[in-house]
Amino acid sequence: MDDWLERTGHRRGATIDLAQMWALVQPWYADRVAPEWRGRSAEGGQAIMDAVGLTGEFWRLV
Amino acid sequence: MSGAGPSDFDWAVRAEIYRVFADVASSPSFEQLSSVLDTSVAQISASVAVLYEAHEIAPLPDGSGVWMANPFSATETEYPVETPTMTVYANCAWDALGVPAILGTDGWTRTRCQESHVPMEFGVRDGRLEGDDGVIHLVTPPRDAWLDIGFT
Repeated sequence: MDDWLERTGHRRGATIDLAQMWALVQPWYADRVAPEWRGRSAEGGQAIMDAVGLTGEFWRLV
Repeated sequence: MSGAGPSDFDWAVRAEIYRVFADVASSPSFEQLSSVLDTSVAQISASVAVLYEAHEIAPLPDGSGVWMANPFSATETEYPVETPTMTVYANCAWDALGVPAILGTDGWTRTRCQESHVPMEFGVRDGRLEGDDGVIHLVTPPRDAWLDIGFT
């Protein structure tokens, strides 16, 4: 990853494995296709992050 | 973000965009949306602009149509997701798993590592996560995702 960061000039962000990403996206997207969707607050998004163990500054929405 | 937020009509535009993406894996055109919602193309364009401000829908850079309704992309990406019925283009690795999540179906992605270019595949089969080991590197913190949604 260091080579890629140097080559592209991007900052190091955060890494997440597929199992944790799958745990995140299920509640993240579960109801978004529903016609009743009216958006999600930052607090609501943060609750999902917290519930799947995504903590730290990178994952702070509020 | 500015303005009063989406109106009921704007949310109806969003709902129709997502309905079509979920049905056929592509976005409806502004003309199709105007026909279904019995309004003008200009009103659809204005609604999509409001939905962009609300971080719900991203228009194409030239404003001529819908680009992204996360996790869906209206343009081909490096994250094609094969579902049992269609190929859906996701915006990123996050969204490659977002497609089976939002559709409630299986979905399999064959892509490549963005660093090493080694082919990799992963997804959901029979409701279970499977595929190559690996990690997803996110450059942009989620709170900043919409500052440049194309890059994110």
